[in-house]
Amino acid sequence: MGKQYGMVIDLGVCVGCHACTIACKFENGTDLTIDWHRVETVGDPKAQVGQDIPKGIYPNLSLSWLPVPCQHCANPPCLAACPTGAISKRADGIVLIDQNRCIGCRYCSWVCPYHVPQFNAATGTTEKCTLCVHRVDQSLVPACVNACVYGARVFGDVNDPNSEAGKLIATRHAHVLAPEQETGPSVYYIDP
Amino acid sequence: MEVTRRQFIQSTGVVLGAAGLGLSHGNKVLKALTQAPSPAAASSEKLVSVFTPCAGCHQKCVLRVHVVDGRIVKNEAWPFADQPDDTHCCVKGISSAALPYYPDRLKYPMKRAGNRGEGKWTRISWNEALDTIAQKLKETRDKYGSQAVLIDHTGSSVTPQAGDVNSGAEAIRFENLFGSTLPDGWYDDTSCVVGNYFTTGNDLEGSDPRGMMQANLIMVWGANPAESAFRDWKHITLARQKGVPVIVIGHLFDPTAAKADQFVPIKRATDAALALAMIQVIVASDLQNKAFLRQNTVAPLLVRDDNGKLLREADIKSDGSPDKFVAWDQASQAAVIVEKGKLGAPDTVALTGAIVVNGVACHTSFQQLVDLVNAQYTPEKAAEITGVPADTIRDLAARYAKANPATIYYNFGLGRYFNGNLSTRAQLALGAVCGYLGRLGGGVNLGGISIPGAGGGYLIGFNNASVQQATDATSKKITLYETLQAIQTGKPYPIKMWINSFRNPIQTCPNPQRWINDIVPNLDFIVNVNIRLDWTAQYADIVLPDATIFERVTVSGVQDHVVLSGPAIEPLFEARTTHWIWQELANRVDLGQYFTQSDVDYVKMVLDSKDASLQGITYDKLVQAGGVLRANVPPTPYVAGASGQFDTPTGRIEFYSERLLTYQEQLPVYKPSKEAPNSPDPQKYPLQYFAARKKFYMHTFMGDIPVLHRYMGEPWIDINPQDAQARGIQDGDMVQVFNARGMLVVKASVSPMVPPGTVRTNHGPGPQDFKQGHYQMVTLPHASESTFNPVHDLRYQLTEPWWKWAGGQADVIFDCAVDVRKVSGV
Repeated sequence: MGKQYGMVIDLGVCVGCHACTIACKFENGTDLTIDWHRVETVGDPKAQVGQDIPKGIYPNLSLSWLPVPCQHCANPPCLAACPTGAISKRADGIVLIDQNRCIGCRYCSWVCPYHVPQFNAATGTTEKCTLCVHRVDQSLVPACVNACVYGARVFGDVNDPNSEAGKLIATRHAHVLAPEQETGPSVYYIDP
Repeated sequence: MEVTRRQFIQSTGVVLGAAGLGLSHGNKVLKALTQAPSPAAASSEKLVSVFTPCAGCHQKCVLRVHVVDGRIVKNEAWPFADQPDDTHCCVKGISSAALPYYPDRLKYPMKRAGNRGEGKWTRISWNEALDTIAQKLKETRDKYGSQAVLIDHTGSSVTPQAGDVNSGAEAIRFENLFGSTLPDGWYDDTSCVVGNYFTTGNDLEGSDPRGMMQANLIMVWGANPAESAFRDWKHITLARQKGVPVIVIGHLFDPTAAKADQFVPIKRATDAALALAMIQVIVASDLQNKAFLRQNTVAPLLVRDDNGKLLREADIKSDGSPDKFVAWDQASQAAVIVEKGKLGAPDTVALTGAIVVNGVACHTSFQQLVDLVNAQYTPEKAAEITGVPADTIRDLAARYAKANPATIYYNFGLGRYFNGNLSTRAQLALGAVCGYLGRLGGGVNLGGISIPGAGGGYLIGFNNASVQQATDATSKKITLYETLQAIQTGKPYPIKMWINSFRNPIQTCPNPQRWINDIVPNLDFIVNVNIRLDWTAQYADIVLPDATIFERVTVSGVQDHVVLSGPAIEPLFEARTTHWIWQELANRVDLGQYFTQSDVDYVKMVLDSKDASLQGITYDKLVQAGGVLRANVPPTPYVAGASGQFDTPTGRIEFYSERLLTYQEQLPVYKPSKEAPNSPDPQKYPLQYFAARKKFYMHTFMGDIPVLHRYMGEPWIDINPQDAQARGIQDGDMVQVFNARGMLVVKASVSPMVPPGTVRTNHGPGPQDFKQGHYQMVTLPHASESTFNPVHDLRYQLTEPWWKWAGGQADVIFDCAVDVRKVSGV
């Protein structure tokens, strides 16, 4: 298997503080209303972002969080659906949308099982998490990984069993989101 | 070589070219980079060390602020190379990069154009503002005396921490020279500090949270560090990852509870009963640490049966000292004299029992405690009070006692109840019984707060007399309670003018009506120095635009380091540093000769202090190091109480406090809190109410930064499904929360995170965020007769020197009962 940058997120550590989401906004200068990264509350489904409503009956409750960056899939459905060829996958596995070629048709948004690509009405194009490719290219970890107070996120080549990420995947039984979609996500989760 | 501030800015600015850190600020840059990273996009970038502006959080993160072309573009945690586990800054620290630019920034001096609080302002020049204030200072002094001016330099939202130079410290210097009134203490939750004071004498002393890695069990008790104390929670997380179990004892199922290995729900403000019952179980199982009790605590000291006082040598010997205490040696069947502050005792000294010495009938202090818990706090009795099942109490007690050591981590939560000092005392007694106090991995820890010297460094600037004190002149120091009484009644003397630096008591304190109706109208002139028009600033006559922490220079200690903070950018708009403001005011009231130093001079004065932890650290060395140097402190985490020095009358840990006999609180006891379960509250509103911390707010601050406000959303109140159903309330309905004091209208969130009988909302949102009323309007007024606690007052009276951080009266923000009803048409 070739190189595939991605990350492992330990949901047992994540407390839903949103530092990742907000560090992403500063790093990438996204519009206030457009999030390239989100943190979902896993509890009562009616909980809004930022609201932590657990599931169950007091005091037998459960509450956790699910941070969702772009999954930088091995088989990205967004890439397959893009009519203009704006979406590409680099040799290191990072999936990018070329803003100069994007026509804002939003096919990528519709086919993404993770609801990652975000349409920007101001630019008329669709944008998404780049895994902070500009940082990665300079040997820095993505902003969300850098911002995590608790070290819940580990960046690396998820296909390399000797990388820190690869070791965590093997030893901590990390899993991916929506495996039945066969998208081959490169973001792995360790259950709480 | 003299290093100027300008050079400091430049020398800390690491200029990064194409090979430096990647930059992408704004979509345009980003979009170029996502296609083909362009060296041209990476302009010069400066990195500056700055404290987070999150005053009051006590975690004191250090930021690495990225500045491009004179603008802050992002913040990240300062990476401590020698302490990598301490690299942290939370979501607020990251978001504070937007603080200097946020839409509601106070941009220039203004004077009131309408009525106070009406929100009508006229822009004025700095000269007009300063001349007017100086004129009012003189007028007030001439008419009422200088103490009629109240200068308030500290509180929940001073930036970045009370007393740092170039903010609070110059205010104190001015106060001392002018002879104004300096109110004592905090405006909130110091009740736990009172408990700590009477037990260990150590007020706010905390332990470095890194020490929790050495615990075998962590009990987070009455705190939500996963939302409000990120550094502490980081170290708890690291301990968890190592396999240390975490038990959360609390009321809400909050993010901290969500991470617990065991969540123990407890009725509000009944925590003392739980701790005392755990002591009962531990002693009944003979699990107490007898050696520790003998050597470090008041346990073996004899207490007179007739008056409850500690037996003195003078009581049993005609030439005995009234300052020496008495224990009983079982081996020799003779009295042992115990000198103040001298720890240690022979193994044969009695810990329990009734003993008659020279005809004076006594019990040991420990026997007093044992008798109390056996009589009143068996697990069954405590279960009735706390709602924690008796078997759970037995299990908690056994696990705690056998963990050896275990940490109890608390914070200011329990201190927000009227009985908070008793909860803390009971927890400390529990820690003492197991011998965990003063031990790495043990302790009953008040969060990561206030460690002496530059290691924790809270007050290195503040404590420096040369900064505060230009001459022998001093300010008039009275308690906050007395201050507010003075404003309201004119007794013991009138207070007529208030200069408030960056503090928001109208909102941070409970019951804003008290300020708006009782305090503000009795003041002739109010000045507010601020970065935004918060609720308190709305009632000012003149507002002055303050510099943010990013726009000024200061120094402090944090996490075993000395940090030179800022400036990252020049003050925006017409904002000025408080350093400059005090200088200008001093010039106008003939005190200019004492305000000739530059802001960097003050930094140097602090570093020149005799504090051993600062030895060898100079301003120039800090500049050369980029702003951060390790302080002269040991590499091991600081442990509160490890010195064995306890500033109590016996010099020992006093779970038995003779000083509290008057209040029948010589031992920690459970007393129902004002409006909490089991309380005698005559109003009897059925629901417990409180406004708890939420991760996006630092008290009333930060959450209004747009990027944070977006996630916080509209205010809501959590109500249990049972209580909602009983009131016909559906999720999303607008409800009125009310009691006899006031009300708020807010959206209902039907949520099991609160137990039946409790409603919870978020501390932070301003009045503009509510349809009607405000979350503080139902709470008990602070520093008022209805919440006056004589034990707090006693602590204040006993404390010398005067300033030991907290004093006067603690607020009882959480002691509040309400009812909720659905409303329509709002």
